[in-house]
Amino acid sequence: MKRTKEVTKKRLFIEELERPALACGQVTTLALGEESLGGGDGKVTTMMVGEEAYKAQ
Amino acid sequence: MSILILGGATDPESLRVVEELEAEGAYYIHLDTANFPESVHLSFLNRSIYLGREKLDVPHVVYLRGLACHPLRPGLAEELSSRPQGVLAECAEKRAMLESVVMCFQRRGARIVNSLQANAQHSQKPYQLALLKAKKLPVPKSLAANDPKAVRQFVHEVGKAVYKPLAGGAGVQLLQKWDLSDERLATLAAAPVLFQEYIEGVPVRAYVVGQHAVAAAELHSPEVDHRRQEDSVEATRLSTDERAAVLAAARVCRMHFAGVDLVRYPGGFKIIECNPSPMFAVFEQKTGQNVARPLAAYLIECHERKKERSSKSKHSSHKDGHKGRS
Repeated sequence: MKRTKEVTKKRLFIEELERPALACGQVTTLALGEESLGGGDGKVTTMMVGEEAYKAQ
Repeated sequence: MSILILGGATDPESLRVVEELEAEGAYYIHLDTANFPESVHLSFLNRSIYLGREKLDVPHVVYLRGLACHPLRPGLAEELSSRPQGVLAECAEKRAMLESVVMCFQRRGARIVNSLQANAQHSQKPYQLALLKAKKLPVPKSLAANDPKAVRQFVHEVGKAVYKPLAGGAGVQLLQKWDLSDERLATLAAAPVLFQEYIEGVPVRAYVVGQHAVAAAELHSPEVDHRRQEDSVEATRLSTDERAAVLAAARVCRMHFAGVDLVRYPGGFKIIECNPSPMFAVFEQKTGQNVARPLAAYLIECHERKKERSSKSKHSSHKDGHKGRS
């Protein structure tokens, strides 16, 4: 009998990283990750998840 | 060319700096990295760099606000899902070009605010923490690890802990009991995580330009990560120790311009991180403090000093460029 190998889907400890960065976050002064994310796409949010992390790269 | 701004055409921070440069009548070029290569044409021929058909002189100073090369930046999610290889390749090619431009200008004497190496610290949090700690600056106890045993040991030692990505892109979370379960810690096999002692206090963002702390505010929030929900932003005065610490932090991280995050608690403070390309446009609106003006003044000062050095060494007159171009 053929056994089917179970494939375990990889997940990150930080589940938020599994989701796409928000295009427009809540208007807080600094956004999660805002200083490294983004790149001047015109979305005027104060700060958003990932923005400070993605912008300079 | 005196001042080059690398950032999106509609990027609020780039636009604020442009506004202040124009107020001073400074000559600058704003290279729209968000629309390169779609509508901005760059050529790199031998040692020369062309924007469209125009050869770019080596700037005296570059404000590197953003290269817009990150595949995970907002707006790319759908495309990344449908053509991941293509998007990754596009970002890599774009990065190769823009970083080469920056590196060439740096090598030829331009001051880069901030260098690629400094900017890379966004994704090198353990390294940055080590830099700060080496200078005896107060930082939270931290563990970057994918080893469940090390994580359990660390949490046992520090008590209350938070966790965050090493490379940014997600918020700070309070570590719960169930996060130390075998099932949860097994996910560390996919990627390491930065764990830190939780510092209960008031987050402060301070901006450093050159040798000066130019603005600071407390960010009040009921959340562990104030960026998730903000109750109020209040301008604040840094203590002597805080001021010395943020200046030292920017210096050791080799940042000419930095957004330094700290947490104030009764009796002290800890530095959380130094951001090499900080946002400040809405900060300015909410606090009434001006960050772009001292930054623009710094860029102009860098330009003036280099211009003077250049004309002294070459004994030639300065070539006038027209004011303000993007």
